[in-house]
Amino acid sequence: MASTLILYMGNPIVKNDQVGLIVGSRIASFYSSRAGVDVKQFGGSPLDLVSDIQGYDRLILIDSISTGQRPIGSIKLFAEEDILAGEGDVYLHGMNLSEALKLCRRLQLPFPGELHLIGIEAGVIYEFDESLSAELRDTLPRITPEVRKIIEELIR
Amino acid sequence: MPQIWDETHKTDQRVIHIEPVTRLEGHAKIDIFLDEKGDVEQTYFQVVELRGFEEFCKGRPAEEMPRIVTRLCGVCPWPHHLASSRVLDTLFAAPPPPTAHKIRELGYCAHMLESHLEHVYALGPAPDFVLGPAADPLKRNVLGVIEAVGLETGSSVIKHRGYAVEIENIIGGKSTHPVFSIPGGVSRPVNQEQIDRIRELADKLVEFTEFTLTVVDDVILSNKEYVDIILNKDLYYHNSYHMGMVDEDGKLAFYGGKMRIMDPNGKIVDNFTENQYLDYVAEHTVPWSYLKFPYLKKVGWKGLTDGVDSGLYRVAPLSRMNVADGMATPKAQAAYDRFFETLGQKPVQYSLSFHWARAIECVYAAERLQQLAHDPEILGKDYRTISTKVAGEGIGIVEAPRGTLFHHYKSDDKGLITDVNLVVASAQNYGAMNLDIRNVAKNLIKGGQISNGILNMVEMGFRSYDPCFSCATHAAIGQMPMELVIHDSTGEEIRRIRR
Repeated sequence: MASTLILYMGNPIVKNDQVGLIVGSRIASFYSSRAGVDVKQFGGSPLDLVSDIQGYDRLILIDSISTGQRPIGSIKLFAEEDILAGEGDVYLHGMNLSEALKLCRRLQLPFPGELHLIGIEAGVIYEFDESLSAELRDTLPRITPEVRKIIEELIR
Repeated sequence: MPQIWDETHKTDQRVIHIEPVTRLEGHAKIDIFLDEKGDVEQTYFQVVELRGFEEFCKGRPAEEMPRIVTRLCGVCPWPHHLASSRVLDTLFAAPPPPTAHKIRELGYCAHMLESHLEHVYALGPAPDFVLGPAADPLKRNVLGVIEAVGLETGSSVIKHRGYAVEIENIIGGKSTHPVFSIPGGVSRPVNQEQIDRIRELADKLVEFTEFTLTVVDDVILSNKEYVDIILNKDLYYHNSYHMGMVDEDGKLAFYGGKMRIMDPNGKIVDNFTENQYLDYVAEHTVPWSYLKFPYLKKVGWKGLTDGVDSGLYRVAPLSRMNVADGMATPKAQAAYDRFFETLGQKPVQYSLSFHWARAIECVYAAERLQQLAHDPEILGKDYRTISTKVAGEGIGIVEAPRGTLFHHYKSDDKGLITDVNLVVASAQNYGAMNLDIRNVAKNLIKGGQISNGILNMVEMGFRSYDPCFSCATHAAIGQMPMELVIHDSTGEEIRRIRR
């Protein structure tokens, strides 16, 4: 069975940016005893990511996105080619996700053959607040099952 | 061969967009104003993020602060964690025992090392100098560096930086957002098995940091064109004050020392401790940036200008080496001696030499890891002082990778935060970055002639300081869009470049 790493990220003191952490921690409880699936919080440098993802067959990232063009709480699944092209990119402190992933490949590291990014539209995220906006909070009960359904289809 | 210069062209557009400026944490943009001849009249390096962290903290239990501040950004969590802890040592009247100080410093040296290595190889000098300032922007990044230096070196960087991260994990509980430092000390001691592993890793890191110095030699110092650029006083150079931390012997320190200030003539003009910082540092606001300009209170704010009469000062590796009498470890001391023999008497004012100084600090951090890991007191069991009262105010200073970091909190008698002020490293270098960007732009952009390489050399004016504007603006956010905007003499925007 292919091994899957699910990394979720966000900032717990930046309003809607924390939605990835909330959903990810709920997802983690679903998979706590599932063989072949590791769910971890990620919050470091791109070079940490390079180390963390080695040895897995599949990488699934969960993070907030802020396109301003989609309803808050809606979910978009980005494929590998989108991620490597920088679409729905995740910023990792001086380097973006696509650069970090390309770095893994260039260094010929044991890199996951399958990449997915589950983006949760969070609207405005740049505000210090430990609470989600009411609009995003209202959508939360359906976000987690929807994300879990996507994950199940990806790892089936 | 690195591509240092490229062909210029005269723009027929009225507006230039550069966005985002690359390899920088936070949000900022550069505005360049041209006169009627197309020469640079003025530049502004603007930080455009909103503030608000201090208000967010008010009313919270003070003991939560060391963990909250690590979320200001993913680049500087350790400095904030430890500066905040030092505040609480005072605010809760709980001076940590020596073992706690040493455990904190040991973890912190690992952080300095991983942060510096990331900048040297991925964000700062490697892309700009290995590939050249005028290299294709799409290749002028860590991937391009690996193409140039080879897979073996690239893999070695990842591996050795990973060793520093492993030490952070051992000491900090978590590498990126440490949780171990608490008021009065640390939450747990270090055991023999952990220290044995740290000793093993520290030995490897010393060897790798010596290799890093040879990379600086081979790539930068042995290239005459680069040396000419570094030593060109019309470009990355200005006469400023310098501030940094030294230990009790006057040697460079990252944690637990006292502050020194050196004037542009090389004279140590002030020494101060944490609780005296308000006598020495003040902040000036400008209408065009959310970031304040710290300046030396005794000299005064004279605007964005250098010299002995201007209160602007610099912090970070070059400044630390300038103010220190030397390094407390042998290999770093040898590198320090060579640095000043090569670049002249103190203070060295060449801004691009921050990169070399950063590489020397890597050696010091690794050697200091060795020293601390072999100090018998690091295994002590007296690692925390329990607080018995709330003193109500505290100030903490540490040297972050990108310079001096001040935290100052006040609380009520229950320990609830009533006031917070952070003066971060990148804010203290903000004036210097503006001066360097202005100097480079004025001397390289003539008659409206620009090129990819010239605009990148303008960006190099801030990159040598390894700035992080997420915490400088106290904003904790994601990607840093940065743009270069060029205006004509009437103030009209003529070109904007975004990447």
